[in-house]
Amino acid sequence: MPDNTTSSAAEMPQFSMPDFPPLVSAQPDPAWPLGQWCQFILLRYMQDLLAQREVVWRNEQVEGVHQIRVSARRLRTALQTFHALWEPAQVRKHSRYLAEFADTFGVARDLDVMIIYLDSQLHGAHRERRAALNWMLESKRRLRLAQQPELEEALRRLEADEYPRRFVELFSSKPFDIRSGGGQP
Amino acid sequence: MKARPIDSLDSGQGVRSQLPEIFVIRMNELWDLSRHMQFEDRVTELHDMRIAAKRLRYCFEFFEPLFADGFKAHLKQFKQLQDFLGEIHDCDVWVDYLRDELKLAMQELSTLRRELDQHFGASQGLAESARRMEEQFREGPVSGLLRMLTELTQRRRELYQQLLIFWQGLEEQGFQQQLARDVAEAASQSERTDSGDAPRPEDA
Repeated sequence: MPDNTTSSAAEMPQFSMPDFPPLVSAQPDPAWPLGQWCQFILLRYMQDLLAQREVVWRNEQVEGVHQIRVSARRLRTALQTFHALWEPAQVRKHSRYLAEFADTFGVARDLDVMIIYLDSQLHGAHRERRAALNWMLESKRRLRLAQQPELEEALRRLEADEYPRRFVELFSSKPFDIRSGGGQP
Repeated sequence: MKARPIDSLDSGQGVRSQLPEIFVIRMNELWDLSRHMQFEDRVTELHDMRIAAKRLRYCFEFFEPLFADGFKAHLKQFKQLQDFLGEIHDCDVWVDYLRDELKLAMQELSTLRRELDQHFGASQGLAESARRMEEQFREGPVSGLLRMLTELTQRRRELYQQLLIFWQGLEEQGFQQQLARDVAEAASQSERTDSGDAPRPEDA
């Protein structure tokens, strides 16, 4: 689907990809202990999130914003649900970070959905309705365009904070050390 | 709405045996909120219910490989529930956007109206200002926005009625009990115990 605005003029940074443990590419094993299962979930969703960075930056497909937001929210839900497996302060820190990150993309996503809907309503709309649809479309496109630098800033910050590396480091080592391929019971 | 904490999970114990604890809390979170469903205007509570449904669905997805095949059909029904709640929430959010747009459109009209006061007598300038304002009335977004507001509230009402029927259907088929059975079944499957070296908890 084409984008709703235009692509960014800002130069895309070189996004880093942390070293994920090989286990993340495997099928989850029902024999794993809960801790390992949860590490797998967190790392898998982080991988999904990171895979969308370029799509979001290029602003060529609205799906990228949706997917990155969904991944961030799944991560947050997983942290909330399995919080007892890690130190509370660590969980709180990551949960907050991810919530903020997801919120930034939430505004853009809402606008994307609205623009798609309004656009779809234009065809065959009555004159009176068309005026309102055009008015709203113009306003939402303007807002969405203004939102793009915010998304880019969120992605830049993620990189500057070395968040992916720190996240992978923590959740590859706790509660189990699965960095070297990690066996299972 | 804050997620209810699940405090007594054990990282070293098997996944299956801890499923009931996780799902009892997340399912109760949702079903406790369902008492608000009979009140159409409880916008916040219906939104909370949507969040609780999403949280529960994510949990099912986290552990999907552990569930039997028949569970997929239940997950599909669950998705439908989320769709209803999601669309109702969209309507509640969109009316705010529409109101904001209406405010802006009215400000534009108000500016044009003030222009009428700038002229003295029945001047050509006044005629021109009046024509611009009349055009804005006719071609501008105000009446369309008002119509959309009405349509959106109507749409919400329809969705709400559909949600009630759908929920009633779920209750009649014992959906909550079905999900609880799915969880119990997944939990009772045997766990393999000899598939290699187990990683040990760092603090063990």
